[in-house]
Amino acid sequence: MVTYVCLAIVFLFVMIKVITFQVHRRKTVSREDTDRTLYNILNGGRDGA
Amino acid sequence: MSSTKKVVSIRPFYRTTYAYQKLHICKRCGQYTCLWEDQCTSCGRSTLVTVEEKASSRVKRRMVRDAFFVLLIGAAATYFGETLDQSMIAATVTLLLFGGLIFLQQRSFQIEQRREMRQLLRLDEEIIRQGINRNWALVAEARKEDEALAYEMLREIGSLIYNDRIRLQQIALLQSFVLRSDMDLQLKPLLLQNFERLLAEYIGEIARLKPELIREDAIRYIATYEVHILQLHNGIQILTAVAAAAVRKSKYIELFPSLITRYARFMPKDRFMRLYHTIERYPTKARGGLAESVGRVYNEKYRDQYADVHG
Repeated sequence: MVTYVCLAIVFLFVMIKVITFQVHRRKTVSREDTDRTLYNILNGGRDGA
Repeated sequence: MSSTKKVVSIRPFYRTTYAYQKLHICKRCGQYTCLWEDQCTSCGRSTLVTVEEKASSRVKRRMVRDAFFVLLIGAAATYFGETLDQSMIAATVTLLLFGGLIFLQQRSFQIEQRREMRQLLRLDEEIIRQGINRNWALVAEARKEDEALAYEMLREIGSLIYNDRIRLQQIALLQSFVLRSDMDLQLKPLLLQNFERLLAEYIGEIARLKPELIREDAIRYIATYEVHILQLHNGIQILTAVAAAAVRKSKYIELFPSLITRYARFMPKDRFMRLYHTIERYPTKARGGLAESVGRVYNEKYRDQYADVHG
């Protein structure tokens, strides 16, 4: 019984990872997005840093 | 004025494809910097890495943890098997799932790394600001000893922060140096919203040394503040130099005909002749009486010389 529970946990864990990967792949963060984030942090709504 | 200028050597600006590639983080204390230090200015250790490297290491750590978790639970499933067959099945399934996870991790590494990097920047928003402010404070110290170094530092900070104060500091430093055409000079990142004498003078110098840096926005700045520039002791020279630099592209001739019309008379001969020939070749580019004005100056100043040479 313990074996099946453990296998179910491993299976579910890997499935969650697969789904997460699919979601992340659909909403890919581009390098330009990262640049924009940085510029917003440093310049957004403030006069400089 | 020019006698007080210093002869300096400025290192070329290291350009990165993306701005975040300038940013480094200390692995120990988490302090950010956009300068090129070998050691962290906060904790003094040589543990600075790029944000990309930091994100990669975080993703790798998370992936190793996931793989370890699968192996651990899989090993438990195998160990607690009631029969040998059950243990064998558990081991096989675990290995298959483990292989699948590793395959998935390899495929998703880049995507996860970029996600992690953005997450890292968002989480460390305040620390990044503090780090860049710290860099800026270091400029004041460097300025006392080495002004060229202070300019190089400001140039790095200015590549991340769009701030007129940083631009002005850079322009002020540049105007205290003897500029040469072999220097790695910039213009576009230094343009300000308002009129500034130092910037106008800097643009005038750039127009003479590196006319290829005079682009639409710089010409527009000069055209906008033409009245202010004319009040400077070398205003006419600045405007003429910019107009002369503008004639290298027919696009600028078309965009700024009135500026070029007013200063065509003062241009060096080679620049004027280039303007004259461009208008001759593309008469539609000369708007607002530019062709007539250029024709008049040509007749007054160069026609006879030209006739002598070709006569």
